[in-house]
Amino acid sequence: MTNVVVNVRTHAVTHVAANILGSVRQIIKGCGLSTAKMLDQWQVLEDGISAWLATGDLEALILEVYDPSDREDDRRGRFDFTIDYAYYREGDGDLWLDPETVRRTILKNGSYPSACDYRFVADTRPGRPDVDGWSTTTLRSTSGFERHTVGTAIGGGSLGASVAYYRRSP
Amino acid sequence: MTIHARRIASIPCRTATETWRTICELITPQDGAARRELQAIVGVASALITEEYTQGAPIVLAGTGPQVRIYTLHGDAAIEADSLDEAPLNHDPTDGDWTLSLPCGDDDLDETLRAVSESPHIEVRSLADQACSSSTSAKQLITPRPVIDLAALEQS
Repeated sequence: MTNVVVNVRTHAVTHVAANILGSVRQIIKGCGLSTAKMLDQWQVLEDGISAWLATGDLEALILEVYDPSDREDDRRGRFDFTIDYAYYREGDGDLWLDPETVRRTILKNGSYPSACDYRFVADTRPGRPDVDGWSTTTLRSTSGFERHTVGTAIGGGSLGASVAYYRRSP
Repeated sequence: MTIHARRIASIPCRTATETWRTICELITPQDGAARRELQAIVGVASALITEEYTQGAPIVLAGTGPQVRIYTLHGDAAIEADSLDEAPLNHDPTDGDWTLSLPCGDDDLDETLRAVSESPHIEVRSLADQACSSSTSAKQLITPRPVIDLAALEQS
């Protein structure tokens, strides 16, 4: 029985990590940006997300969108995949993905000019193990932006990942 | 034509990049130029595996010896996979001239073609090109992603 429980936990981590990456790729593409940069970084992204989900250190994976040609304020948008480690306290442990939540996120956010670029930031708990290819950084300010939570898009074991996007306040 | 088929357990048993690494090691028993070319497209191959395109349509390797067709298994099918489905090949299909064809959904075709443009032995084909090539693959293409009841698995 112990082996089964360990496998269930590992399967949930792999499922959630894979579908966060798949969903982020859909958002990048759906918002009119090139996925080439993400495909180049896939291995590093997967290594970090999987490792920190497994240790319980990943708070959120963040996709920051910016315009490198704007020297005054390059911020254009942001997407958060926030992890809830106790999403399924009483759940039955299904592994699932709701692509409709991701589609709705893309639809509500709209697209970016193709000149925009993006980067990935993992928000982690203090003391998390290092993973090759990742370095420390500071997130851009979200001042002047509104956060819109769309809903939980991915579930597995006790884990849930919800999606939110940021748009400049009117 | 002789065909060798393999079914590789993927998500949630392996990550997408672990799945691709397993496939690379299966079809390139020796470390060399072929394996390096395949490893260089790990990102785009992992994206295709994550989308489960390789579940219903095979990765096709035409080279030395019999053609090799590799499917990936996902969800329950991966968890219940038979390790014999991953048995090593009895030949090295990349020992000579070879071409590897990746299946891809139409929505992702452009980005995938761009991603492999510098890989001389890699081709990309639309799922629609072979959606009706056999009743099995056509059926798998329209099957929704499975939901796994892990609680039931724990109790078994």
